[in-house]
Amino acid sequence: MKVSVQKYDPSIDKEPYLEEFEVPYHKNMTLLEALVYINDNLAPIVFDYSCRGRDCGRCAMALDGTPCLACVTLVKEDGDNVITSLPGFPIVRDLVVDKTKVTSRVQQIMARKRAKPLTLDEINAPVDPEIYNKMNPLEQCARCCVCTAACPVVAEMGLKKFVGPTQMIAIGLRYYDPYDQGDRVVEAVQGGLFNCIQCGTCTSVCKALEIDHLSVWADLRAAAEERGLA
Amino acid sequence: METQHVMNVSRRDLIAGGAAATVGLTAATTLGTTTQALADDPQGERIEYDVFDTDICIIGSGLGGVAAAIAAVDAGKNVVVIEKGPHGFGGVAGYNWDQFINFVRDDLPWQESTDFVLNELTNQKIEKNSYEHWMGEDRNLMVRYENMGYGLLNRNPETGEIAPLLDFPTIYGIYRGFSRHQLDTLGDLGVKILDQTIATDVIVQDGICTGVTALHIPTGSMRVIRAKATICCTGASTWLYGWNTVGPKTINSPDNTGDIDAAVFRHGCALEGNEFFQCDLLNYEPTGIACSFQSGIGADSGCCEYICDQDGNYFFRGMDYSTLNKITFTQTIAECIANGGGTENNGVYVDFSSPEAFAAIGETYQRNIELWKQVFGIDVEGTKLEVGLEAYERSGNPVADENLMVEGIAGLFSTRGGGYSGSQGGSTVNISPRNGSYAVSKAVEYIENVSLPALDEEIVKAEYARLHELFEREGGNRPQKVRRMIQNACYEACQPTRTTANMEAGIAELERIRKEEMPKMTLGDKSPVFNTDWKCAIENYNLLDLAEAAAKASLFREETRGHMYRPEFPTQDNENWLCNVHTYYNDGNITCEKADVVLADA
Ligand SMILES: Cc1cc2nc3c(=O)[nH]c(=O)nc-3n(C[C@H](O)[C@H](O)[C@H](O)COP(=O)(O)OP(=O)(O)OC[C@H]3O[C@@H](n4cnc5c(N)ncnc54)[C@H](O)[C@@H]3O)c2cc1C
Ligand code: SF4
Ligand code: SF4
Ligand code: FES
Repeated sequence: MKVSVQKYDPSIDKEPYLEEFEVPYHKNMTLLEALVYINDNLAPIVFDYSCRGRDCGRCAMALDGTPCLACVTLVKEDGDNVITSLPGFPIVRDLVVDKTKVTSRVQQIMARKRAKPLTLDEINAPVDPEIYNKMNPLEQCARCCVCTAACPVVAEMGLKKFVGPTQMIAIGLRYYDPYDQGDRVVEAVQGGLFNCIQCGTCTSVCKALEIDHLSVWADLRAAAEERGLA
Repeated sequence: METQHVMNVSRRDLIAGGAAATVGLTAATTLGTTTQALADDPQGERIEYDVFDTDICIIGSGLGGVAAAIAAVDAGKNVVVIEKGPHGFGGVAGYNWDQFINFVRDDLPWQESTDFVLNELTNQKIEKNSYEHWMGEDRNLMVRYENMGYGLLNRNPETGEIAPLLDFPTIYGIYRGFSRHQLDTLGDLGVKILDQTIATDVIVQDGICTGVTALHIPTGSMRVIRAKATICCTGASTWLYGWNTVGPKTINSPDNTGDIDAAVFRHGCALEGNEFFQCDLLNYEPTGIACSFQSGIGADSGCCEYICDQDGNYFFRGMDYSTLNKITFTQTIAECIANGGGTENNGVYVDFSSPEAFAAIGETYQRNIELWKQVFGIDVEGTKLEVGLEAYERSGNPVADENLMVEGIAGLFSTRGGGYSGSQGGSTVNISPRNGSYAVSKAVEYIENVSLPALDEEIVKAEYARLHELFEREGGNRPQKVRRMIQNACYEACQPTRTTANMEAGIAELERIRKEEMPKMTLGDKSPVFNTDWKCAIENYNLLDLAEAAAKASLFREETRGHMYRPEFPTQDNENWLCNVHTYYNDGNITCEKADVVLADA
């Protein structure tokens, strides 16, 4: 099986280039398996991974131009299998990118805004099950930035005009969160909620299968419209 | 406040051989302020490194590290945190997974606690002190988790009522603690976080730890953190255990290579608990996600009824499930395999022909059934799934005193002080934070009377030379190859079914690797920038030392205890082995000795 891997060392190379490898294929081979095979047996390539299962988000890259998580994406026996770094993020080395422009913002968004700490009684009180069922799936977001890399609006306008789906999911989570007291609707609108064209690309590339991005966007839009923020 | 300054030493002094000047640092002239001065230097000879001064240095920002950082900030101390992974994405805590959090709810006396680490070999002084340190509100993880910006702990989806799995006067356990939110809060604490930075050694001056040497992976530049107290929170060093195609037979993180445990070992301190691991069952196929419970399908002790051997014997059935803890669970499977019930891969099966099995495997695995259908086209319903024992945690930590201070090095604390988990073989999301918080409370007392001596540059030079000498090697295997050898040999010796022949073979291979492979292990990549060959080589020294300690301690213990089963010594032998095993490192020789269990009132 043919696999081409992006190589780039900023201390030497002017720009990234591709190096081609021949990898023995087996059924259900993941992209991560192919990379580990190459690095172990053929030549050094630099990539990052940790959990081997869609939870740490560190193996985000692109296969034949489509952003994906290497650990849960299959290579094709007769495909081109061109592996490049996650589009739209500065390359550190080969397939490793710097995602902090998104991930450090997500960390800030995630900080729950509250005047006073929660008491045990508040925690034990029931919450609206509908809200729980909406918030729950968003916790599975790995913050991998695959959706942000795939989002056509982010690609066209940049993160300043639209923070992109990774950050918007974090805003959505805190919007649903019954314990959060921040104004997350304003945050979403300022983040460019209405620039999103609702194309659903984010959902199609996301491996946290329980996240339904469009329904989150719809809830945030409805809340913004109700408050005349649209 | 920590200060940052720069020091220069001559490179030529450090590494023997003139060729040294052409590798490593001179190639890095385009990167960052640290290396800019190099370009100004016509000889390209000087090396520079950043120095950070602080009260408390915390190595590893996992669950233990974050709790330690909070405790240090609460005590008004300056803190520097070193983290190997990207901030928020390192180690086990940097996985975003649905945790089961459990804790002892009220103010029970420690010896009645149902904390999972309390067993016959636990260091009772550590357990008692750490347990009593975390009282009242602190002990209630619900309050803690929810106020650290967690999501919502598990609720009944129909009523919205909080829905614990365990709810007894003594113990409480609930799903849906997503650890990553703890790391989110770290940024707000005002601590200095040095991420993508691997701590390579502790600095020991006159028997006192005065800080840490480290390497910034993206640039390959050296960092020195000078601290009055250092807290090691580097997790379970489980990355030494076997190999499939993308990881060892562990769901733990590649960041957790036991670097500081091994460093401390080489400084002459004893390790304890090396022979004990914690295991669950996980799928072999598809191979790419074997040993990843975030996308794999497997079983733990909650699913015993549906586990069978290759002949279709449901060997757990008929057992008293109330006595089934993780230890008995693993040991029973290991015994079944020893008696010929194992598959070719030394696995067993989970029988999914009845729908109840799906309910029993627990939420984390259930979540992956749909993923398998979508990504691999595999539907496990109605099948028997082959699963193997993988280690998700392990013990094997520096022997520490009752304050979690490492014995032999003052000022160095370890949240996983040797013996803290006894035969349980590792930590939980409750224990690591509790010990992190406790260790810092003791460190704060300790530093009251401590002032930092001047930095001994010879120590920094020696560490620089040790790390950079790796670029000089030629003609050997790449570090990745050597690592696979270490992992496979370690698995041979330390898998739960432990035959003496396998253990001896594993140990012989580890000794061979030390002698033949390590001295000529050769980097395939000579760039200083994000050089994963270099990182792998540095970590291999640590993995090898710990693998050998684990293998030798396992062979030394001539009985069956904890998760493992030894066919040649098939029963627990309290008369001879109600003790811990200490391992010592002496110039590459690793030896074992029996050590008394530390009792609370001793
Ligand atoms: C997949 C998985 C699921 C689990 N599920 C549960 C559960 O549901 N409930 C439960 O109670 N327990 C569970 N456990 C156990 C529990 O998660 C761990 O005991 C706990 O996370 C350990 O915390 P820690 O701080 O010791 O280690 P970690 O959280 O792993 O932190 C160690 C940190 O040190 C860093 N580090 C390592 N070496 C270096 C170095 N040289 N320099 C700098 N930084 C370094 C790592 O990057 C990491 O951030 C699970 C474990 C695993 C692996
Ligand atoms: S929403 Fe999905 S694709 Fe986007 S960052 Fe989260 S896990 Fe990744
Ligand atoms: S739906 Fe919106 S956020 Fe998602 S990819 Fe399309 S434009 Fe981007
Ligand atoms: S390795 Fe963690 S998401 Fe792929």
